[in-house]
Amino acid sequence: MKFELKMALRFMLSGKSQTLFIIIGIAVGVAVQIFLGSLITSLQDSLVDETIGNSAHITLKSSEDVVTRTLNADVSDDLLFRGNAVSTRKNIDNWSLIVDELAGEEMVTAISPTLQGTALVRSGGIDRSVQIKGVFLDEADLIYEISDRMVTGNPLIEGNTAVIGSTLAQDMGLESGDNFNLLLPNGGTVRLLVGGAFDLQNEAANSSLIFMDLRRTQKLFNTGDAVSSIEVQIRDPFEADLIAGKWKESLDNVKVEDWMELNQQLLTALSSQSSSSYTIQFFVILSITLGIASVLAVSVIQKSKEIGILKAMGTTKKSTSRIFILQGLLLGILGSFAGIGLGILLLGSFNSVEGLSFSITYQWRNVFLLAAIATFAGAIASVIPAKRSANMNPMEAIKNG
Amino acid sequence: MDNTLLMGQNLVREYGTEVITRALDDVSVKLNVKEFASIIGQSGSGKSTLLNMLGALDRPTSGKLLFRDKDLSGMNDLEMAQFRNRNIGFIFQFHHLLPEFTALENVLLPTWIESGKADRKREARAMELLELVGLKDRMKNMATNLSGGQQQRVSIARALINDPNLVLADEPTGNLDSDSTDQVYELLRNINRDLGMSFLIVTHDRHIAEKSDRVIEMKDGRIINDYKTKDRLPEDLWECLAPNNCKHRRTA
Repeated sequence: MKFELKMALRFMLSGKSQTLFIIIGIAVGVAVQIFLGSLITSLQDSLVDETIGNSAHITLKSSEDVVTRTLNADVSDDLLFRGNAVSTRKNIDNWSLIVDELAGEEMVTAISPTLQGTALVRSGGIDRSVQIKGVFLDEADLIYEISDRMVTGNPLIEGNTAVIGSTLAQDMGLESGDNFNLLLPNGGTVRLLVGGAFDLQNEAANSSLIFMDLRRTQKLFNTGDAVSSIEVQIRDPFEADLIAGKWKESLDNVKVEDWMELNQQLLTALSSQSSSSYTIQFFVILSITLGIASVLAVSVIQKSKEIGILKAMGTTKKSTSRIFILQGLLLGILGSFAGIGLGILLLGSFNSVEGLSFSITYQWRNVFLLAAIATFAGAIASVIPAKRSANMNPMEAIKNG
Repeated sequence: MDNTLLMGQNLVREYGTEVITRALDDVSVKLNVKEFASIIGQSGSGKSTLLNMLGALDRPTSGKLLFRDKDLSGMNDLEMAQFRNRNIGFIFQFHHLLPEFTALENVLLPTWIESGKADRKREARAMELLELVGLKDRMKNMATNLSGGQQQRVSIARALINDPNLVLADEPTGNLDSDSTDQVYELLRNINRDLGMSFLIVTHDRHIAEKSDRVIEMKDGRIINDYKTKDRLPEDLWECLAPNNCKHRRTA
């Protein structure tokens, strides 16, 4: 093997410019792959993060509806016509059982039981309809990162202290420490204290969301111990549909919604982006392979005399072809490493441009995978030239003249 | 003890599938241990074909080839390659050194092929051989930085490194000037005498053939003359080695 490696290296060194050109060619190809691959993944990550970074991946609600009010007073409560009754989704009473069950799942990273309701904020003569989310701060933080996103005040929700969206605070002229009145659907009013304002980087949430303590919220809405939904985040958001499917089977009386179901269009866009990226990468690898193959094919012809001589002196067919396979491998390895350097340089210069909404990150695992594929392509590319060299007739090379 | 090193019996070599050319036509030849023989003949007479076959570079279409008691005609490619590496030293007309390597590395090539790696002991032997061919001070030169004669002497050292039983040379002095030719010839002769290897040399050069132990003359794929040089008078021998064959000369 050492002998073959020595031959391969000397052959490559003897055609310096030829070797250099193909290495640069491979490097450019690998660099483009790394750049493109990282760009697409980072772009998708940023898109997905924007979509689901601060919301539940999977939401569990009760599967049953409940009639809250019939519209026609003449009709008895038992007799319902379509359209004559307001129904809302029933709350989940046995939520702590479900939470315990989900907590055992390995993929689950956050479980936040939530009681959601609507109310009116009245302050300084202005009314504003808002969404109340009753949560346990520690659990909700895992999904919404409220504590990290406070713009004023403290992330404090207990008793009558609530945190409110930053836009809402601004519009209503509320600052931390201020009081405001909350008008509940059942007609009651409660006075709350602003603990602070948060910015979830989502305008709808910022202008109409209020987080409160779950227990307090349950009391305000008279729901007993029930919650309206259980919000869940999982480690790999792209397994949401699988996991949701599993839970649909295993949990009774619960409606399971996953973000993928609700964002089909985004997913289609992402997957077509990925497949076009793979297509480009495939053709880059193909042209790398063909490039290496053609350089080696020329090299076999150029070195036919040397090969003949080596064979006359007893080099076996296997050994001869190994010399060329090693060259293919070496070209692949050298080109890949140069390509890794070049690719990371490209990413760095891209990231240093200002005003980008996201930065490209790369994963060493992917970078080395690409390098390994390019190296493997080198070995594959050398197979035909290697075969040719193995079958070369030494007498042809030694012939006088 | 049997003194025979190599024996070919009724060797036939044909080329082509539709139009068949017979390059060797029923040739039987025997080469003894320590013999220094020349093969002469016009181009196309089958000299190189015979040499390649005796060197296990080629297989006969029919006939039998025995090296000592081993039958070469039945060997596969791998066995033939290993056989060449251990038993045959080749010297070619255009020296055929590998330009990517130094003189010393070129001499060591057959040992690398044999064992797959470098070996200190063999390196010492290679230096000895380079000294023997008078290139001690050029060992580290790249092959391309040597003159034609020097390159040919390196390739002689290379042919000897694995201590072969037989050295085959195809026009070893074919493109050398007369001074270099003499040097190379003297070298081959000395090695034959001192190291005891058999030599078989294809040549166009009357001076070399004249100084061989034995001359094999070929024409149209057959051996038409095979004699020991000491059996002939010097003037007669010189005549016989002329481009045309012996018989023709005599009758003329």
